[in-house]
Amino acid sequence: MQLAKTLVGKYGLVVVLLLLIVFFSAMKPEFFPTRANAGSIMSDNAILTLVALGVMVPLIVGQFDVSVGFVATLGVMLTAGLLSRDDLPWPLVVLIVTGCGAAIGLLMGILVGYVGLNSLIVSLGVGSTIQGIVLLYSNGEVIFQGISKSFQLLGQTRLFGFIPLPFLYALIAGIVLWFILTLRPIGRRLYAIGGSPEAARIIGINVKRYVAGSFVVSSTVAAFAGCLQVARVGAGHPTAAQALLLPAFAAAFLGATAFRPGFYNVWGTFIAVYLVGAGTTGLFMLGADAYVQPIFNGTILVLAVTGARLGVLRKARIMNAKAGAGDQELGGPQSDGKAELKVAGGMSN
Amino acid sequence: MAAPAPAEKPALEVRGLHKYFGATHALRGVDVAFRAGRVHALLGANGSGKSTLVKILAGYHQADGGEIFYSHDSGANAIAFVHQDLGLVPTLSVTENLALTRSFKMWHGAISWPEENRRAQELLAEYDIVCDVRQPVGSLGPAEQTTVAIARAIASLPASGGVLVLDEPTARLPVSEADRLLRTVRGLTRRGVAILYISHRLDEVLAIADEVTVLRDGDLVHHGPIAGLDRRTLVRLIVGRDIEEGIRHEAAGDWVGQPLLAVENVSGVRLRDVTLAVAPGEVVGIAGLVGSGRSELGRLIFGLQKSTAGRIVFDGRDITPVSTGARVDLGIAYVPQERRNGVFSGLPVSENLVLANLASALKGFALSAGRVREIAEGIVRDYRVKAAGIEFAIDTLSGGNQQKVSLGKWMLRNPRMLILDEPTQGIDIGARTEIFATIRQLVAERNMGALVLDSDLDILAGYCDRVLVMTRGRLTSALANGEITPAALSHAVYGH
Repeated sequence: MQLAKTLVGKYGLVVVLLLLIVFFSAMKPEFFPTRANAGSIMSDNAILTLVALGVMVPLIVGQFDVSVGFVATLGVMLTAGLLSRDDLPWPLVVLIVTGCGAAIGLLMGILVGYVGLNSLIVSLGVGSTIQGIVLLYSNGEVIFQGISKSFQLLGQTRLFGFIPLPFLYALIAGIVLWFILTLRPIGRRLYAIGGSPEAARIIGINVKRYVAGSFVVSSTVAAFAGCLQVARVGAGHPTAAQALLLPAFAAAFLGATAFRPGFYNVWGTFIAVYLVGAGTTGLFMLGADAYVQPIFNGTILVLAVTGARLGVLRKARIMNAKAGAGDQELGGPQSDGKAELKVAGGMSN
Repeated sequence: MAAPAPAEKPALEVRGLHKYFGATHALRGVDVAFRAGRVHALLGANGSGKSTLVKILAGYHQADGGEIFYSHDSGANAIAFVHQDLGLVPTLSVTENLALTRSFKMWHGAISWPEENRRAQELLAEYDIVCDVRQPVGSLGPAEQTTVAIARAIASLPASGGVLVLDEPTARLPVSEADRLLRTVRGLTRRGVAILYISHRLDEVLAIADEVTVLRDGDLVHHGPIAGLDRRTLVRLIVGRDIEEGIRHEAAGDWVGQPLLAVENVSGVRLRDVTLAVAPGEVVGIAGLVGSGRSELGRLIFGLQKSTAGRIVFDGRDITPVSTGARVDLGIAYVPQERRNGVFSGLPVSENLVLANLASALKGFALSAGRVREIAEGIVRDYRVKAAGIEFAIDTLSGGNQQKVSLGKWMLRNPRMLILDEPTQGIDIGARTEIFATIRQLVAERNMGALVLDSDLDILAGYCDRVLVMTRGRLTSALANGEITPAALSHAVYGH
């Protein structure tokens, strides 16, 4: 019973992922449970995983970076352009592109952290500007020539003929981010800022610097994801990665319903991406039309968040009862309101 | 119900009220009646069942047993609440705030604002508030805002036989404003409502209440007229034992040498040319009204706000240009007035305690869960924090225990200077005594300095070695040791 509760409460996403895999394997035994299919699901979603891990960091400190889709697209076009037009060696290109990402992040970080502007507005404005610059730079054309084979190998090689390198990069990024977020003081401070910026300031945390830094992380990771996309498909498309924005946020929100419910976390986000990825692939194999995918994504997100919310509320009641906390301060409706805000805060702040 | 004579029929009566929270028996068969035209003080420490009773009356909790009777036919509609945070929207006008809870006067399908404004003006005039009702409610003084909330609550009650519950209405008011509000509350009894008055300020209760109801551990321990009760008796009823209020350090004042903290000619937004010094082993109080610059002084010393002139010297070093983080590293600790800024809501108790001590929770390159637990359990034990478990969210703790966390988290960093802004606001007398005993003990054992910024003169008189009085941003007088009495302080602060 206890086990069942933990499974549903903390590992619900993993359980759903496994159930989906079993279901689709049973329905399409000759196509779904194959190494080739697993490899392509892993590869197809690696870019999204990176972008989702990136947006998670500003989300943890309570800020939105909605520019990541555009920054990733800039990464794509800049990588393709520098490789094919300027014929630069790929390590230099990766360095330049991630450097550009970091600079964009720093700009937004300063505007949000130090100037105190609303992050949604800043990242929307910066993102839109970048979109224009990308169109200007690329003339709206796809770049598919002059991208060296050696660079493409970085995105297309499959380890043991099975695990695609992009998945490995995403996994490494996840492990590094997980280590920093859970086992290094920096990570704890980020969550503290998300909980209460003023309280964080009072214990001596340099809140402005951390907020600014979170945008540097999300933009750098997004630009790097753009590089990787070029290596993976061998071409640069001027609208290649814009569509990643909403799924990336959805994955971060969905991820906050598992492992450490109520808090954005690496493995929740990771599993969320592959849950949606596996589900979509499986549905296509069953012959679903294109419209099924967004419906599936949206429904899963809303269901998971609803489930997590009900779970957290129940947990809060149990905890109140345990702590005998009916007697904190008067104003029951308000204290309940606080609990609600907290959940909402965990999810959307 | 056994009908008493109509004239004496209570406005509200509860019989045999029981409430359980899991294994906790929060109310153990409480019988009490509240009569119209009286001010009933409802007293009890945190965890006494006082809030549970009120929450049951508010319909927020369901009672597990017992009955509630209202004299008025409209039953539960005849009870109104003014909570500590008032429920006003500061950016909306006074009229809009008043209109939020009642229906609008319409004129051909549109709200008639001239009519609404006139009604608001009339309503407030009954409470001696004259103001432009079109201005935002946030621009009124704190006592006036409370009165607006009370006026709104009363307006929602039936013409007679209603019950008004006031929860710590003066907690955020300076004493002079509080006095004004108390007069307003006394005036309400003429309207035939029964008033349930909840406050931790016992002097206020003695001044205003007709009857006193005391709860302790879920039991009704006293219910009757206030006549014949004094402060000491009330404390004994609430806590269940005698409490020695006030601890002072005998040798204070004769300290010579380098001060621990020196504030030299500092100015800020409100502060004007403030100079003071705190010696090691000394607790210095700053008395002053809300808006006197008292809280600003704490924020300036801790670096949360920039000073416009002067310098701050800590342990012989000029820290004026230094960031808050660096001041923390130097050994300054700060407990803010707003508890929500002192703790991280939603995070576990352990996380709250360890966030200020992350360096000591490191084992090699990574944080160790074992070290985190060790640190948190150590502080919980040392400062007697009552928590069901360190893994629970901080929000499950009572206000007093949250405040212990807010203070205790600093202690592993061996601070040498404590800045405490209203450290026991809204905390019951038992917990308050404990917190100040802890502060005095720390100051004595570790030879720390402490600065207590408070509007509660009893606290300042009880626990400070020296008290400086702040008026309109300037330090206007200083009292030491024997001179510090609530009466002398009141004279210095209010001029009467």
